[in-house]
Amino acid sequence: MAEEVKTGAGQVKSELRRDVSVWGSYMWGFADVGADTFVALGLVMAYAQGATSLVFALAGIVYIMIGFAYTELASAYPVAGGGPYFCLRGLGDFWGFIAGSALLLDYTIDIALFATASSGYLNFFMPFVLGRTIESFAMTIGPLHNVNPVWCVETLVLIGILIWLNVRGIRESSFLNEIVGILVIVTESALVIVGFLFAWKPELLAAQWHTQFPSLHNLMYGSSLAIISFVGLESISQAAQETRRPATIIPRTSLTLIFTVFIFAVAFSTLGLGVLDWKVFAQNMDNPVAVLAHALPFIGFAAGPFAAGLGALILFISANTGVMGASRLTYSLSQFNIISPWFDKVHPVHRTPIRTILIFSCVGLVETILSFLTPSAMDTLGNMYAFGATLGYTMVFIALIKLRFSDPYSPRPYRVPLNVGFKYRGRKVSLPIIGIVGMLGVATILVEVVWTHSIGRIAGPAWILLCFTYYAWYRKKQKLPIFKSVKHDWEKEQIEVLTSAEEFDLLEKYKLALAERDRNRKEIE
Amino acid sequence: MRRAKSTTVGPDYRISRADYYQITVSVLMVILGVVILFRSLQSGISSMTLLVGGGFLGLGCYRLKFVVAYFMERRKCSRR
Repeated sequence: MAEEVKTGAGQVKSELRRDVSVWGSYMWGFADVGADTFVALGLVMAYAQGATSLVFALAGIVYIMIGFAYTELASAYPVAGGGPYFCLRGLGDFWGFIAGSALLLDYTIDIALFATASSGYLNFFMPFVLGRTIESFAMTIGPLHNVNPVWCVETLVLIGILIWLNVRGIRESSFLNEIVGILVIVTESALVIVGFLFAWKPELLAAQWHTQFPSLHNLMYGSSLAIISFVGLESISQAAQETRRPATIIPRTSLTLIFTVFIFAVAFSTLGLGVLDWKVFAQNMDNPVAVLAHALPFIGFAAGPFAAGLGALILFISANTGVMGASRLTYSLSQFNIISPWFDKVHPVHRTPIRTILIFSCVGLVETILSFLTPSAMDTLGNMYAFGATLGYTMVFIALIKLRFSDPYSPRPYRVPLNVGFKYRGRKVSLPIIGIVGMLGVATILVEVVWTHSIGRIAGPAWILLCFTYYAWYRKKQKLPIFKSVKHDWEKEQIEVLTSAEEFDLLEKYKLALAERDRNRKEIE
Repeated sequence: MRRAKSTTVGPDYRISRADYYQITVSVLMVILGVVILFRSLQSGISSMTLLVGGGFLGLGCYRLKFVVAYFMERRKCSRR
């Protein structure tokens, strides 16, 4: 997808080519976000119990609002930087760094969590191959309980394969993404239809709702974990950088993606509670969708193994987005002097960003090993994932609101619904009500994470602090302000972005808006 | 830039693969909603199951409203 462009100074600069279509853009997102349900179902069931559908629906409503915010920002600023770029532009360098470090944490956890879950789905076949379950390998080592070295080694091998593939520059093609995405949609739709028609027992759902309702602590814990089934909206902005006419395509594809994922997440949790006891999912946290598929009549004998294989594949692809996302993010951050361009160094033969691939994949490896020393690796990684995601999303909402005031000139092909317009410093601006409600919603989930996740509340801020130490050292070395921003020419950048996206109508509107602003300023002077 | 109030598209709009997928999903949502509601009522009324069935049915109908509006508009245009 990368092409080399000669700059005015004669230097060669790499740029992403815009050749992703509507369908490709949708499938790109679905291969990333759609995989989350395969991980989150078991984790959330273990805590939210009979109220799992409720917490998925609540987290889903917050997620829809986050999706609206990303759609507006990604179509207005179609660059791959995503959340940190929006924060950098709206709130300044320091807050861009905070959002970047939260997202970087999520990318490394993404590698660890999705590789762990991918091997978990592969372990569905273990009883048929080895005659024993993966749980039978768990052991106690000194004060550490339920340590599973076999599962840990499987995960490390998968991450090793990912590192090798990415260093060699072999990435999954958009065609593979589309095939896997279609297979997942067809499989999930088939499971939902067959499940609701032939296996779903409303009385079981109602009974679990009434008799197995969780405690307040578990409800909060479960709802904060439910947000991980909707993580991956960054892929919308990543796709925006490589999409033709992003202003037209991004709103359509991202809104469809948001609602598809929401419907599947709520449908699966509701179906699950009406087919099996929540405890079955809690016991099979490593492959919940395969267990659900296996329990269905008529197709269960084939659907179980098929869903397990497909789950392993899509989760592996999703783990790969962590490696690729970390490279894109570090590249974007280095362009704005948030981190050193040292990270951008490419491999002399394979032309891949070798340093970021190795560093952040190794962070993922360390996180995997440490998480397997806790009683539940999936739970620990889910904890951390939720922290990074909620912190990053809170910042994006703040940036969305701030940008409505500081940059009302950039054309927004899509706007978050429900706005209140008023005059601010002589200009007409509109305040996004859903942006404010969404910010409060996701901030509440962040508070829940800090309150209820014993590991997340320590390790999450510790990661941000570690990144801050590096950021402060680098900025001081470059004689740049730590808490203040370097002067950026955002207008020139926006014109370049819209020109490269071939959004000439928007470009014209933007130039007209700037001209009108300059005229008004002159009149006042 | 303000968005248009109506979200329906004109009769000259060509339906893409993504649109066919969305139409199919909407039809399935209506069918599932009806099945869930019917089965829920059979086993006694429960707020949770009614919410799920009603949710599927309502959302499916809402989405189909746009599809029906589009086809009616197209039919009107072809008669003219």
